[in-house]
Amino acid sequence: MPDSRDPRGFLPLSNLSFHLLLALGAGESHGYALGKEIEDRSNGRLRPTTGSLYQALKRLADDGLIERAPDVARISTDGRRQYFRLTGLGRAVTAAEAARLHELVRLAAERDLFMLPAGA
Amino acid sequence: MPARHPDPDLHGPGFWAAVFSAALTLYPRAYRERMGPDMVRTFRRQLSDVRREGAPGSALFLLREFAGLPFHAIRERFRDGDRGRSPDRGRSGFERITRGLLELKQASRRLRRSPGFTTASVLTLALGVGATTAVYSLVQSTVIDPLPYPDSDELVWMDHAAPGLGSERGLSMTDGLFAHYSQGSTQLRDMAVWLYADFTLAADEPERLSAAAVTPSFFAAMRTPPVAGRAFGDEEARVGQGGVVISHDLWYERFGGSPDAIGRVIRLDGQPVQIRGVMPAGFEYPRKELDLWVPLWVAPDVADFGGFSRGGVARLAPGATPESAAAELAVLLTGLPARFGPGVVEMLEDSQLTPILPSLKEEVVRESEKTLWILLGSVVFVLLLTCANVANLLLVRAESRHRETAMRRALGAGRVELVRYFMAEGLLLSLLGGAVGVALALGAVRMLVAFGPADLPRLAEIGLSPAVVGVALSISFVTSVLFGLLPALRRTPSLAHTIKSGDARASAGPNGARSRSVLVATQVALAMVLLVATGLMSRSFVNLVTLDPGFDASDVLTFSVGLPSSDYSDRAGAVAFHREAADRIAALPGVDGVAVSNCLPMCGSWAGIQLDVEGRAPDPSSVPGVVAMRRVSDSFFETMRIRLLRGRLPTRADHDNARPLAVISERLGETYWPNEDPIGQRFRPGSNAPWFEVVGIVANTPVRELADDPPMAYLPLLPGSPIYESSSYELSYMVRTSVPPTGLLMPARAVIRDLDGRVPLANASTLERLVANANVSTGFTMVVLAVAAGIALLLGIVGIYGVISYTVGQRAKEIGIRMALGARSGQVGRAVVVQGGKVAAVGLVAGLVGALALTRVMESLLFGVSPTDPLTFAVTAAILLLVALGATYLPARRAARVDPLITLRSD
Repeated sequence: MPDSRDPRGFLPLSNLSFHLLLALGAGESHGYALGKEIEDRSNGRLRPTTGSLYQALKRLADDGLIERAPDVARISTDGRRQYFRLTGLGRAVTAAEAARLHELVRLAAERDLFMLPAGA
Repeated sequence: MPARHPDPDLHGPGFWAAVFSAALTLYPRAYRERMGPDMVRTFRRQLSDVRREGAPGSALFLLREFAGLPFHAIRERFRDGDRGRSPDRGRSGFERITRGLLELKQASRRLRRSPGFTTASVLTLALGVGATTAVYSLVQSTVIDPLPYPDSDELVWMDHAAPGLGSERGLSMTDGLFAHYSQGSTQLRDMAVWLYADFTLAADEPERLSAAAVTPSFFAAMRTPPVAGRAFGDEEARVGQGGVVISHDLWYERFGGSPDAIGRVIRLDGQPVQIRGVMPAGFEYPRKELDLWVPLWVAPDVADFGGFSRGGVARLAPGATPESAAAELAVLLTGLPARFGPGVVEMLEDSQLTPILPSLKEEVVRESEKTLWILLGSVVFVLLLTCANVANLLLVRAESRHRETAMRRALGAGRVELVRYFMAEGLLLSLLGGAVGVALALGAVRMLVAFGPADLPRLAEIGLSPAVVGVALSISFVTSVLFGLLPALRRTPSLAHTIKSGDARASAGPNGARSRSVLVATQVALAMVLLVATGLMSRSFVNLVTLDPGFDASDVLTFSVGLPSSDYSDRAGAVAFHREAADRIAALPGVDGVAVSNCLPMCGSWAGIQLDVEGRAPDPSSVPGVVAMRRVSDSFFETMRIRLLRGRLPTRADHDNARPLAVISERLGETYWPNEDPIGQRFRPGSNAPWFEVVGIVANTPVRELADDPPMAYLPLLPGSPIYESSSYELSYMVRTSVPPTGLLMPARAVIRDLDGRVPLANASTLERLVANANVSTGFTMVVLAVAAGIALLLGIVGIYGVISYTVGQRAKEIGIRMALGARSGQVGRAVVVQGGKVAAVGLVAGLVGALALTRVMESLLFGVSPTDPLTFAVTAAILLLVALGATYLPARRAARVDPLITLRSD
């Protein structure tokens, strides 16, 4: 049964939550890989500690934006891990947040306040 | 040597993962069960990632992780009950920071308003953090990471056991073994051997330099090239043109650290030698305070097997283990070439020589490791104590603030605000305590470096490592924040209830009092263990200091004089020099006597040897005791005031006529002639040596350290002793004086200079100082333990005082009622003391049990006292009980003076 809650009720997302949802957009993943991806993508500026990473994951899961991926036999070097993936609501919330940001960027562009960083 | 940061992750990611896992207990159970294992895995992988970035990165990572965790855990705990969102939601980062700062500012104001509490907490935290950090830093550089050489894990010490001789280790290397092993072994590489030598450096003020003669492979084995110039190679060493590598210190002292020193020619023992290189500062292998490394060449086809007088190290080849390498050497031993002759083969069979390869680290820390672990254990106790104490202080504060908490809650403060309110205080306390603690640790490390025993490896390099500081700060932080949060964590009764009950303390139930009593009993127990340990060490120290060494150490100047072999190539010249020098010094005013020997008392070496007794067939089944030998001049016993027990001492005439007479120690007589009179017996030190006749028996004297006195034989030294053959003719002088001994140093130096201006007088000291140095290690352990025990005692007193005085305040009303009903003040006071006594007694009993279990590990450090010495235990327990009762005195007096009228009226 699809979640009937309004995705806009979750906005704005915290920086870390948004990053996590974006990272999960590429497919299911686990805590360590998510932390690594966020760190890489932000060029090391965002470096969540284990505590904050899991806190954010737990909240997203509690809010129904992500869920644990069903257990499948996964081959990994250090035992069985928890994999997370986006729920339908999570997708909708991520899209809504992106749209919100997009709207802001559009507004900035309109007022000539938007400039891509040099070299980008 | 550039200071290397020791790797902070000494225990590997496994250790830290375990700590992290333990810290997760701060989270609510449900959260922990769901996320815990995954969090630990992620933490572990991140840690192995940052480890590649080096020590500072790892330290920072650990600090961030452990500092952040309690915050998240506590937030999680409140989320369970408090579904309300954080009040910060929607606030910008800037607003949050300002709010945080404001919170801190208000907290600091509150702390300033209770200066007693603040000072006590900060000082307690500082003591714990400071002591732990300082001693851990010491242990880290001396035990955990004692070898500042690259890949030092690969280094092994070349050693052999000889079960046939009853020796488990200690037969190191010979030239023959080196040649044979280094050609045959595939499991070991860069094998190097060395021996020690002394040289006289020719200069205006000639100086005796201490050197190691090392095979050229030595520098490769240590992976430590010279910082300037270069080391010598095989070919140079073979043709005798290797030059010399000098120490960093010598470079600065003699050449001002100038690069021009490389290539300069100096004269060592009269021989011109070129300086090739300078070792890095702090490089002190194979021995401390070396001035020179000179080439030692062992030909691959060396014909002489040689004696076990070479030290040796090697590196394990990739894939090799010490066991596999030792097994390979054992196989190689069976194929020892025939060139070494049948005698060597026989010796190998008799002794059952077995290669053993302990890690070099093990070998280096062998002596001091145990002491340092015990010291570390003692400061961990101190840290536990400080945590208990701070927890106690915070608990008391928490209980007195119940009303305040209820009021804030009634005025609309959410849990989160309350947490933040109390957390700000905890944060400030831990920061202050941590900062003062690190300052204390810096001071303490300086003291440790200044007063620590000189034989500790890398003593001078000890510094605070960032990782250690980080961990100690985190502990201080977690303690103060967690316990500081208690008031916010408690289920707060409604304001109405609190106000109705009328007393801010009314809700402090028996639970609070009990948990504080448990904390205090724990403190007493910890203090008891430390005090017993200190007591045992102090008794050992007193035993050592008051030990009769068998000689009189007061007013004796000691120094050594070594003759360059190039200038004194024949025995007669050397003998004449020493003889003349001793006679002239004896004639100086203020000198009562001069003795000359090849070794000072406790000179650190002893040529152990077994004696052949005349008329006694060697018994191959028994292993005879090893005997220490000293060569002494005729005046030795008189000058040293060593007591003659029986027989007579050889006279000057005996010496002049080179009569082979020997004096033995009482212990030697007991060992070799248990049922006979040793006087008149003859023995020889080895089958090629001449026979010596025993003419006198003297008191035992220590040989290497004060606590040991093996059998000792004194043989004549000058002038014509037949087997005295030291290559450097270096002898030790002992000058007994009737004036302060150091005043004779200049005159003695002048005598030596007059005789030969090229000969230096070295190692000037006094016998008293030598004896004191022999006690340094025990004294050092004693002082550190005493400091730890002193802190423990102090914290214990504060703890008992705090708890009792708090309970008295809490029970004021009850006491008032009792007194109104006719209880006398004496009874009331006694009841309070008994209450404190009970807590102390429980702690004492627990401490006694703990001490009985733990002091056993100290056994080898003790001298003349058993680790379960009843006297020490009894006295310690008595002192602690008295102190505990004393701490209850003030609160008891206060209780006894309670005025029933006032307490009852206050309601």
